[in-house]
Amino acid sequence: MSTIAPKRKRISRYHVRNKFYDFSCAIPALVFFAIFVYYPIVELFRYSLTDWNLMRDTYNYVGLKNYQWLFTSSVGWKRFSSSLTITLLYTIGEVSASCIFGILLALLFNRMSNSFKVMRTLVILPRYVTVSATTLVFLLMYNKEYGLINNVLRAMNLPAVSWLNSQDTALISVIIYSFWRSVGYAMMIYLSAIKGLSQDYFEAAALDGANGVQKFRYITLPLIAPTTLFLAVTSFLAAMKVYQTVEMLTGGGPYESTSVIVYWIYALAFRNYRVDRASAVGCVFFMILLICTILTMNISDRKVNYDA
Amino acid sequence: MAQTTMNNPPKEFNSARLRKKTGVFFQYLFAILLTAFFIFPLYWMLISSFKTTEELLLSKPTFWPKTFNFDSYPYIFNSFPMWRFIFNSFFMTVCTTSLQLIIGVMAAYAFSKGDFPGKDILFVLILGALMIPIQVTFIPTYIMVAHWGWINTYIGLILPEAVSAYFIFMLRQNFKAVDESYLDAGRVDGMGRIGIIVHVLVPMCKPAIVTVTVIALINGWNSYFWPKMVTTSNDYRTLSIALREISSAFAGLEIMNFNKIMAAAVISVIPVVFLFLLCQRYILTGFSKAAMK
Amino acid sequence: MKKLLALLVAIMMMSSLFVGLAAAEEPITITFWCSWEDAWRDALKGLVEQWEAQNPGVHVEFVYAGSYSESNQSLLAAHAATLSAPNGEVYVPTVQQTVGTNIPTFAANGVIYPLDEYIAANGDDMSVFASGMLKAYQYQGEQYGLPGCISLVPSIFYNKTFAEQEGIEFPTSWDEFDAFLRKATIKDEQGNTVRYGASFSGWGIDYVTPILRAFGVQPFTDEEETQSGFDCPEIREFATKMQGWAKEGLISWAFGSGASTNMRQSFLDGKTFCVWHTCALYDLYSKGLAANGWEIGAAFPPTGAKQVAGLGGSGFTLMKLASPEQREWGYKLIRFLTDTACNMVIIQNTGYLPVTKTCLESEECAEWLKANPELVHLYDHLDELVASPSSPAWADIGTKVTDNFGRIIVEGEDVEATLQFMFDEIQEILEDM
Repeated sequence: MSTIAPKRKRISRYHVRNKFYDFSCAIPALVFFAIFVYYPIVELFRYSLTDWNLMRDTYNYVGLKNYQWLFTSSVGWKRFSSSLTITLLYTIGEVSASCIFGILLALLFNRMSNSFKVMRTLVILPRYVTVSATTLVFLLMYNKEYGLINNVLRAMNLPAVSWLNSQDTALISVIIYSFWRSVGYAMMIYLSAIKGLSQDYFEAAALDGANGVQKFRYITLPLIAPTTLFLAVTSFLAAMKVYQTVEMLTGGGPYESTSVIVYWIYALAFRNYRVDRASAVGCVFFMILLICTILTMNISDRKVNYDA
Repeated sequence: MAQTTMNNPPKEFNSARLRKKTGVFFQYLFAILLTAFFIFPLYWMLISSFKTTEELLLSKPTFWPKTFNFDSYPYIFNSFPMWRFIFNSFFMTVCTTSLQLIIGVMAAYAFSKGDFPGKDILFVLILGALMIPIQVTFIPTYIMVAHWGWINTYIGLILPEAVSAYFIFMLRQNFKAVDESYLDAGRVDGMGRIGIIVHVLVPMCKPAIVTVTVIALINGWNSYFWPKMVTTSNDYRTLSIALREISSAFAGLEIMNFNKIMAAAVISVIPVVFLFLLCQRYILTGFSKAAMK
Repeated sequence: MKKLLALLVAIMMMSSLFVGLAAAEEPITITFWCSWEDAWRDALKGLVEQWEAQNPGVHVEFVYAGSYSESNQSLLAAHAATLSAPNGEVYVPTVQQTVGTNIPTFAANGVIYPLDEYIAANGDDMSVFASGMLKAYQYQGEQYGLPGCISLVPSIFYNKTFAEQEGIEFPTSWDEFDAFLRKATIKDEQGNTVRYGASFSGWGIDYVTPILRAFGVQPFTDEEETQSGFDCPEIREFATKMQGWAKEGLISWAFGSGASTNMRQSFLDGKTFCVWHTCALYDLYSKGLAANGWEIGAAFPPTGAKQVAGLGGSGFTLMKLASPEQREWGYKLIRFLTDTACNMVIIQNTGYLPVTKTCLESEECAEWLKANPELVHLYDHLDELVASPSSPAWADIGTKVTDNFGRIIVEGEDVEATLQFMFDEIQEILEDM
């Protein structure tokens, strides 16, 4: 590197125009982000200060009224706190389930053979299959009267469960679906991490007479902790944005027990026609995401790669 | 423990082998069972699409159709403009992916090998875009797109998803790892900036580019949130959103038509499943890279 | 290139002159947004095409816009896009098929256009529509839409074959309902319900409100619809009764994801004696039962404090941002679709009820009733239908009401506490408006 660096400097200093050409390669992306990311976020904040409902061609600035509604009115605060709680419950449920079972699956599937390779591929497949399609098959299986799961339960003389129709089970049913979809990915990440571990530790532990569980507990687990952190952070931020799964499976119901925050923003804007309030919620949601990201970045203290 | 080993080495050897063998047996058993569990919903989707409505409603579910009923597929194609949906999905996916690729490669070059003032700050801005998902900005974006008259157009469908910060980030990491001497060699050969990108950087980072492209293709085909916002007419709907319409259309009027709904679902997953199985090698190497970081 | 295009246009205009089509008038395109699916949509499309053939100067673009709520979201987008379109493009449809509950919000915000001037210009007689049906499409005294079809909610369909075999008569009053349920319900030895006495459409406020009204509950106590009337002894009586029946396994209260589909299927499978649903599904239910060799029976909801059923269905509205010319033709299309001939086609394909007295008294209608005698039980009560409240808060209130009745009846939660919670929620919504 050090021998190349001065050379590079000489070439790039060769002409100032070079810098401009380098910069122009980044222009399309920069313009795009300015228009489709940064401008909208400013506009979002502006809308949140108005009383616009999308149907009128005029609107007034009303100051922080929408935020006041969100934080102090009983309807606004109740809906906001409940949808935030639901989002967090969903996120924590999905992330912890995929991390825990991801490790277990990685240990199970950690074998070099062609049949295991095929099986690993099949386990991770759900993550890449269209969500619209797989939620539909889960709708069919979850169906209270005619669904496969309840039919099997009945055949075993167990009481049927109203999966998506009861406030006690709806969120769990949604999490089960997300778990099914995402755990293969967690498994693959853990597998690569485990494969990358040096065998020296394990040989040393074997000499000390450690059994499998001990090896896992005292060697594997601490060594893959960074991977766990990486996985938890990326899937946490992705899960917070959940929308499609909820819309397809429950439509936010029953009794708003699965009404996650993005779903609520959408409903406020397009069902209640309150773009102003929806924008206020959107801004607050953005702040929450931002704080979460900064916090997790500080914890992890390294660049995390965000898989959308 | 150690004592026993000393006294009876052959027996211990045998039991260890036996234990290992049973261990392997159980590993296979559990692995097969779990794989079956994970693949089952997809199997159920396929198999339900071949069942008759009567069979679908049996209280003792059948795991293999008694008679294969292929009527659901022509029915779906006759009731909905499926070819149009398929074309829309395909067109949108190809367009977004190629735009992401072209713009992404250029930006990745600028931020890895380029040299211009403010490079680091501007790159932070690109990283920042990762933190502002469309789920936050969809209202203003929607109004902006509506203002330009792009609701229900391909351009409205494609443009807001034409650049991916993730894409740029991944490619930049890979470009950075390419040694500067290769670029110099290219310059000596008289290549310009574009020449170096096309003939040096891209071929050297081919696996990474294939990986991100495949992921972009799959994400494009499956994308839901923005296409749902911006399209309301069947002429521009993609398969992914049309599926919801198809399922709610049946739920509204018909009785239990899950065999037809499943037929539509099967049609929509075929391309991604094939793409995944063909390119899994690249996706899986992508994982090990992600885990190493 | 431009010259060539101009030449082509000129040739086309000339030829249209020669054929004598509507003189030199430019062909006009109007857009029709439909929210019906499948067979219903095809029936409606057929009618629109028929009108198109009768009016050669007009082209109708028939668009399936998704469910009523999806169609509304699209309309909102199209409206916003048209408002800010740089070159005056029109993205809104001319005519939208919509439910009456949207009228207040859309009218107040200038999305839809009142029909009164067209009604006056065409000298159309509005008195052929029953006044309750017109009222559902009015806002502040102006007529914003015309009903295209009417449904009676809840309409009760029962399995007549079962009724005759077992000597069950559908009750005419709520006092007899308990005895009826015990007769109509079948349980196995373990006490599990094999056949429910009744299934209610608990997911939709339009199905629940008329039953509440029959018990004596008033959704609003004042004309302006600002004071909720839910907090009353009658609603507690209703909730307690329903909860008791549900706990005993006599009724099933359909609620939540897939509820509507499951309710229909269980009725057609003979696992429910009667369903409280909409008359619009008469065609589906009668054919479905017939496939199993059963006959269908229809009944009007029983009397409690009074006898009442709600008015459902959908109508057609005109968009404000459509061009005046489009609106003019749009109105003609609406008028055509609400006419007796069209009305009868819709009725025969679905089970909806006539929108005009003319249609009701027509010969075709009499024949239809002769072929489907059970429907008489519904047609007898056509003038007793009550429209839904028109407050913009009603949709939100409705969600709270159905949600909380779901909690009480399906989940078996405490009646008084849940109702109190619901009253508070409704109060909050009303104060929030």
